[in-house]
Amino acid sequence: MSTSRISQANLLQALELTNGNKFNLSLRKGAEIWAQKYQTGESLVKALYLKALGREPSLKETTLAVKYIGKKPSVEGIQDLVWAVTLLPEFQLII
Amino acid sequence: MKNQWNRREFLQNTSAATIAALGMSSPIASLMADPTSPLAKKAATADTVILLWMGGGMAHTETFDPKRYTPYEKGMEGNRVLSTFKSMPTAIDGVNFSEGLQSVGSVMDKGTVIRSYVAADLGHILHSRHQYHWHTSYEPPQSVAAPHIGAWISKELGPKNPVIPSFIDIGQRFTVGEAEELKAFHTAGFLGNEHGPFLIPDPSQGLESVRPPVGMDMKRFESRNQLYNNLISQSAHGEFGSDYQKESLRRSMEQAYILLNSPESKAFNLSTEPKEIYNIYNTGRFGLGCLLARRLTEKGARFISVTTEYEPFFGWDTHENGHTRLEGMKRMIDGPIAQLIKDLDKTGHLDRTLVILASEFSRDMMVEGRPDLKVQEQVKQPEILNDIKFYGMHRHFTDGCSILMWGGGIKKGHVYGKTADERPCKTIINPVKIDGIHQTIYHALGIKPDTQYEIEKRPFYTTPDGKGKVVQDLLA
Repeated sequence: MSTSRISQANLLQALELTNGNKFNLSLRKGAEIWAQKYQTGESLVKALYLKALGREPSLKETTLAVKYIGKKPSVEGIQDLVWAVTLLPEFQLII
Repeated sequence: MKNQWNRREFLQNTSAATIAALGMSSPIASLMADPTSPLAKKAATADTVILLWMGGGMAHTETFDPKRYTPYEKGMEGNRVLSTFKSMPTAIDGVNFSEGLQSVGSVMDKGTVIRSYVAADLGHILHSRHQYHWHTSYEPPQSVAAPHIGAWISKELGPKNPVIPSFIDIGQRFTVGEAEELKAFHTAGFLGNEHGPFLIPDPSQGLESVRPPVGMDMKRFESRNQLYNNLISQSAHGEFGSDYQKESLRRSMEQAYILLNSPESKAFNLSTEPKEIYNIYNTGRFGLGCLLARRLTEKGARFISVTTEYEPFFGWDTHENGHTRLEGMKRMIDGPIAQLIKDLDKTGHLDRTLVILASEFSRDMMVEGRPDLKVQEQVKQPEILNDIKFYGMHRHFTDGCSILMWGGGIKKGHVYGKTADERPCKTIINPVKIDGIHQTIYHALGIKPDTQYEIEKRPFYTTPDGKGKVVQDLLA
């Protein structure tokens, strides 16, 4: 019987999000598609923030993210950026 | 061996396990209780606990409390059989263990054998209920989610090394039968998620949990983490959501990052163990679990449980073929446990590490429950044995069970309690119950006997009503 749910991430959950195979493979697959779709870093970052967080990135966020993925986004760069954005507390709802 | 689990599955299971009522606990801070109270703790004699769990009901007369041996003969009377194995000498003069456990016997000069553990009467005998009782010291069902003893220890003492999870559970899968019942006590209960078990169902796969993703080098792993932290500090989430929630994710992510980057994570890499030692431990998941427990203890673990694994009708849960099955169980545990004790002793860790071997109850060929309070028979067992599959201890016996303890302030070469030498082989001297066992463990760790937290406006103690008594005669 349980009358409440945990809203706190535990270490195993964090580890799975950090190095879990399934999550990383999905990110990789998605990144390959996005690398084709978005030719510039800036357009990709804007699209990602709109899709993931429902808002545009701030200037600072754009600068940080574009610096990471490159002017012409790399697959690895996109993969890591999407990982980071989906783990923002802003994106996460732990239930 | 079935290989049907993966980390994602047991991850889902952990969250399910810990869902069990986090509740609203408000710590009374037992540590801040009056230090002049006569109950105030004395100096700890142990910093680490390793629990070796014999899930499924380990017959005392077939293991650490052997009685008269009667070899199998077709047509024999079951009532004549007390032990189906010979007795073999141990390192303690005059104390024998059952055949197949000579290696464990050889390290008993470093520990104590308790022969008088009496499991509770919980009505109809169910493994999961008795296991719940053993691990929490509370009889199920409880209106409050009772914490596992490992969670209490985690809560009171915290991690010994901040990198290593303070409560680690090795070997139990939650894809087996009675999984929900198992989850009910593999939890920190109302103490909260962070004190719940770090589950490693397969010790040889533990390393996967603690290394960067496949195909990612350390440089990229670190810059990805840097990006994450930079984006967090830029993110506008501050206006929404509770601090608690934001913090808890970030704290866990940081912990994960630290663990993945730590030299301690190498403890999970069992392949670096010298081959000849590895081979002694490698009797399967339990044996390798003992090896992992030793390696984590050396790096500063707090509480580790290693189980032979409970799965209905497997392992120690022998409803038939008891004799034959126990030969296998003994091969699984004998070498690894003895090696664990020897290794910990050699490096000096045994002095501050309390190793405990226990099971939820014992077994007997004839008696179901206890002699003066039998319960409904759950196992068909003929009076006359015409098939060797009936030769073994198949009924559930609660009135005399063995527990072994080594290190961490426990007496060496000591025997506590006694069971009768004729059926019923029940406890006749120094009965000890679970609250006494738990209180003795807490005492060794320096955790005060009246440790409690308020939950749902009532105090909840480490042992029911705080009444568990330390078994002084176990202490050196």
